[in-house]
Amino acid sequence: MTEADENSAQLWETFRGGEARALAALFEMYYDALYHYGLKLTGDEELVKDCIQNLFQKLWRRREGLRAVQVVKAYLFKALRRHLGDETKLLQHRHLLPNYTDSFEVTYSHEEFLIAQQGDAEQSARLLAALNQLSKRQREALYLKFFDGFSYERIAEVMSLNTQSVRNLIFNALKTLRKVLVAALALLFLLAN
Amino acid sequence: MDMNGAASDYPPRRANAAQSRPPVRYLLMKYAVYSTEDFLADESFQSFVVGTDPAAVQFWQTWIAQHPAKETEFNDAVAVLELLATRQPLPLPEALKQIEAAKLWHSMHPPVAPRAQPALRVGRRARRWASAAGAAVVLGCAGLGLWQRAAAPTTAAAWTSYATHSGEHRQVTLPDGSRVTLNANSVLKLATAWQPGQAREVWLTGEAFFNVQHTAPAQLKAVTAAPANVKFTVHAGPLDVAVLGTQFDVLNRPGRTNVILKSGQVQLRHQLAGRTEELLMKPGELVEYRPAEAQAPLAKRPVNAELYAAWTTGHLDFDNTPVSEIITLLEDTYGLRISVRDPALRQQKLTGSVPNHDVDALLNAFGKSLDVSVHREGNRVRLD
Repeated sequence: MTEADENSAQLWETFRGGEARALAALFEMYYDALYHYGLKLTGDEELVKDCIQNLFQKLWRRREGLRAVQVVKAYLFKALRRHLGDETKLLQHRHLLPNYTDSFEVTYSHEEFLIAQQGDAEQSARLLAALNQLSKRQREALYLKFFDGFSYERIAEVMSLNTQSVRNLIFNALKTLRKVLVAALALLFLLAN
Repeated sequence: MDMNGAASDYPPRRANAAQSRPPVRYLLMKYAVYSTEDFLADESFQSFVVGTDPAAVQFWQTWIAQHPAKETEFNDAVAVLELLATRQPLPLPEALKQIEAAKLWHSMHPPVAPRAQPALRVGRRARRWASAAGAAVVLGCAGLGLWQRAAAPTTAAAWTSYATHSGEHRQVTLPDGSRVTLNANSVLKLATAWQPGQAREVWLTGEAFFNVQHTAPAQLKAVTAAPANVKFTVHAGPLDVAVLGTQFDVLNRPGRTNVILKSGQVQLRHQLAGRTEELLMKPGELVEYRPAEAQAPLAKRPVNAELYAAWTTGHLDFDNTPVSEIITLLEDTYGLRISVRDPALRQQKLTGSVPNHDVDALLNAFGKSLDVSVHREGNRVRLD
């Protein structure tokens, strides 16, 4: 557990005791991360803002029935994910969209990676192509791993999977990426010499 | 002992997870047979490449120095993970976060019972409202908590009213977190308790600036398409001003009712003798209704909406503002009729700030900065 995790676990306890400021502090602490994750999942800014707002308002109303939480960030991510899922389902139902799928579509873009900033356009394009070949779940697990620094155990919590499945998802994802990228790296290396 | 100090410190132990981990020696041997993929999927290796964990960085640097045979796999794994290095996302606009944090805060803190004040121009019906507010105050003072509950009359709804004296402004936070600034000599009434999912309604006499919370689902942006239960309605004399979440000014004084929209959308409804007229307003528009011309259709005209909200700060701020705009503002706000002897005066521009609680002081300052004399008789003003 990191220091931030310990801090927020304490804030969580204070909040459960009825202190509004503690919940406001957690909101402040995790708003950005939640927002980016929600946006990644749905691409809908307004929906994400609403869901985060509803999530925290609900936490406040139901504070007395909440339990202690080990890693607050993971708890919040999981709750937001569920909220977004419910909302999306509702919207799709309302618009009679036939093919509802319950996994979110995570897509990556160039500007999210350092490599693009370093001006290596070709490698950056290859990375994106490789990432977008991965399964939806693999992409989401990678996001939680590399953008939010969650451990396998916490990713499992957020995505409602078991830890071994997450480990396999990421292992296979990285294996695929490596095949695509290291082949390219080797080629570059040959060309450079 | 073939391990050095740094290596044996790793992995950094968690108090309760330590026992469940394999001994360090086993881990080190395991690493010696790692393939590139094994390195890739190893969480401590990932934190080493990403640089998030100094202990991991130190451990792996030491480890590879001691195991040169694994360099190929090691470096391949580093190369892949380095490609995945992410950029820090841009921080969200501070305003977005502030608005959201305020919304949350308001939802956690329903407004405190209001101070009852003698209202001006309050009729018999209103007096009943005022006494309900009085009851709420007593509850609040009795230390029953900051949480304002409906004063619990089970039969009739309890009402709260907020009123201001002349020269007084007042900030009010409504049960949904919407904020209202009441101008002088104004009364705002509403049901004390608002049930979530019910239409929000307030009644205004005088002038108020509204900053209304959007409670409808985010997808819902058009007020005309919204169901009643997510709308916020200001009843101002004969006009109903319905919104979803916007900023606007409503002035409902004897002789006229104005609505000025600063942002968002407003749906105006005017009921007269069984006939209903509807109008949709866009930001920067003013609609004026005069009972004297009750049969005339509602008409919109563009104004500097920023200026119409300026009174909320207690002063009017002009920034290269044309005198013609200021004159219109004074006419609209104070019900004056202003005539100007020299038409060229209207083209001049003013910059500066004047307190606005006293019309005469304001007119004086206005005249001084334009270097004209001000003559006022009732609501007629002449600038010579």
